[in-house]
Amino acid sequence: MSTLLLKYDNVQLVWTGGGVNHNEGDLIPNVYVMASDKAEAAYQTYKNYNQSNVLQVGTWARDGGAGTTTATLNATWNTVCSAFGINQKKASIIATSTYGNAPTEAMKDDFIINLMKYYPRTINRLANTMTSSQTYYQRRNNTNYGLFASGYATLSNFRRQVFFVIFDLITQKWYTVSWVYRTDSFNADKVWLETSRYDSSASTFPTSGIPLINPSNPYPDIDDSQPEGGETNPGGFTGNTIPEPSLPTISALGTGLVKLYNPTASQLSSFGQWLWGSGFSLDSLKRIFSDPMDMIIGLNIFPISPPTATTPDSIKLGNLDSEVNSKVVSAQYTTFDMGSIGVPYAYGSYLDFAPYTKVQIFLPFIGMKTLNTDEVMSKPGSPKYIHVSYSIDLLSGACVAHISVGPDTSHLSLMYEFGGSCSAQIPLTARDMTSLVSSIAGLVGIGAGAVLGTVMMPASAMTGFAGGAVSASMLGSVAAGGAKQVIGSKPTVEHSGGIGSSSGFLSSQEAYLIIERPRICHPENQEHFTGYPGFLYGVVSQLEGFTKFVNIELNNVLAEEEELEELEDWLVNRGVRL
Amino acid sequence: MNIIFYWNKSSKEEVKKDIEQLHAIIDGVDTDIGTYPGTLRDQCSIIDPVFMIESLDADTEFTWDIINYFYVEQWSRYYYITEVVVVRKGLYEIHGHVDVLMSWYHSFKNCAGIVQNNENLWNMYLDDGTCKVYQDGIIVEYAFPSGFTTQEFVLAVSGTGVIT
Repeated sequence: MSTLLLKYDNVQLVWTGGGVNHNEGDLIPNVYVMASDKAEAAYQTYKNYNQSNVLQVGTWARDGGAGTTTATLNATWNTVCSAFGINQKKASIIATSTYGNAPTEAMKDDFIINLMKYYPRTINRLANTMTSSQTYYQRRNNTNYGLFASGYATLSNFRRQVFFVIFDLITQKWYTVSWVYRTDSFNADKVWLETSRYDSSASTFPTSGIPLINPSNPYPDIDDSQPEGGETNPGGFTGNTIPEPSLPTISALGTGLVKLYNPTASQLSSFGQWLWGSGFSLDSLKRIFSDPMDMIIGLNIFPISPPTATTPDSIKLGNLDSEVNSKVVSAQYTTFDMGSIGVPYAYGSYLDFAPYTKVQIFLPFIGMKTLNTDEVMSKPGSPKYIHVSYSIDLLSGACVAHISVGPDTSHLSLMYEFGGSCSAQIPLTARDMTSLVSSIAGLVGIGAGAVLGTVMMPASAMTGFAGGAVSASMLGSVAAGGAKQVIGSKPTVEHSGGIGSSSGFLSSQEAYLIIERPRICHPENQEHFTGYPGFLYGVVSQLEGFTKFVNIELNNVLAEEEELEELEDWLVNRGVRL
Repeated sequence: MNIIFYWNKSSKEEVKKDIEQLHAIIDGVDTDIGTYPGTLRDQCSIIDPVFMIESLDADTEFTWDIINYFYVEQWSRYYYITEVVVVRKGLYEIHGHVDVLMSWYHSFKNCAGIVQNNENLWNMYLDDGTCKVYQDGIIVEYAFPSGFTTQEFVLAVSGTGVIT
């Protein structure tokens, strides 16, 4: 059985039972009735708060049974309030009572029997055998209800009013009823239901439950709204910080099948001369027929300096060595850090957030992307920083921009990732082997064909080669000229490398934010004429200036109904100046 | 009953009105001329009362341009003067309407509620839709500190270059 709590609005105190700072007849706003086996401990605890708005009706009970002490009831008022989301400094409390003459009398057999006429499954038959020092709550033998006497009031004409809270264990709903009986001549048949605060049909028992405010507050753990504040971490979750991803550990370079060079422009020129050089030799022929173009995966321009080995090496294609030295790229993947910037707020209000303020980010080689303003915008006392870094694949040219956001540059968490291509591909052409061979064969004639035939030509191609006399120099010069022609007129063109993004190089190379803010129209003294939204709990006497309520409890105002309506109209609809 | 007339200098939404009772220097003495005793002789609404007031003498002729408010002690209520009808010289019919704010402040000052708008307590992260913004916004750009500043070649080849 957990602690139960009921909320009453404007309870008229008919009996104080020695309560503090309250008189009979007082209307007590925001009254919470605790009906529990923890009542004693709670009472003992809240007594220590010594708050003027805490009162007691009846006496507290040893609900735990004889011998139970505060020490053994280890619930404290703090924990009780916390469990029900009650601000213990604001709550008025009525401790439940099952101790006292009235409950004792009310629990006489006849009374219980009378109750059972209406709630045949309600009352534990054992209850009527208990003494006043014991709890009247029992849940045994599949009994569906617990019964509490939460207090009593002595009325005029020998009447005594006893308040009960009934809890339906099946529906989890609560009922509160009060009974009145005459103390001068107690007779169960004359016990009648005089009032039920939540049921206007006083002549009958309530047939439908009044849902308890358990939970009394749908947001029990949420901090009360405050000016410039409020709940900052609903649920108290502590999320994870998502780091930027590390680079892949397995790369094409590790296979030994692929190699990346970082040549300078002059080294590339030398490489080109080697690749398509005019000299002719057996090595040249081997180079041609090994088709070094097939070994070139791609030639790209990147916007970064790739990581390179300290020792340069000659560019090698397959089994051919160009003998052109170049820096060797040491890793397929690399990163580029563009740094962090704070995202400043302008107003310190909701105007800094969506949909009023829009934030876009331009990422080189990716383009313009829209960010969620609510995720990246700073607030007073709560700065936000955006960090941008790139991960780049030097083989394919692919890049991914990582956007992290955090309260400072050392506590960033990854939020966005956008992909693109940051390489500009330099087209290289290559023709297939068949067209290369046939083209060259047509140019060099039989002499060359004899050589070619011995090296690579298939038997069918050797038919026309009768062994004519062609000088080596002649063959070499013609063959060289033919190769250049072939490069320019290849019937089958292959582009090496991955996707390119030449347009990226024509765009800005810097990442930047574009923040589009509204321009507020703020008349002078707006706060005086309309105030600003607060949605705060407030007592009239504690407020100043223009004030408008969402709703207000006009209790203790003994005005006429028409006046009350007008008063509410002023306070809620039109606004007043306090 | 006593009716005390005032000059209410506050706007209607002001709860605690700035009121000034009428005084006049008569025979060198600061004399309260705003309090009029009266007897209720007929039915009268407590919310929208109508009184017949007769000037005591010519010296205390009402100057209605500075009287717009009154208080009825017996009813503990303040009233706006909503209409004044001149019945005859020196006799006026005064129509009033209760000022619930001033009259009942002492009662509702301890009432609590949820404040929607207030002049001094607010949370500017609540969007109540009342704030106006101009159509033309402001666009500001912020550059990240480091951009791409170089361009370099990367040649990708297959094979490791084992010469045979």
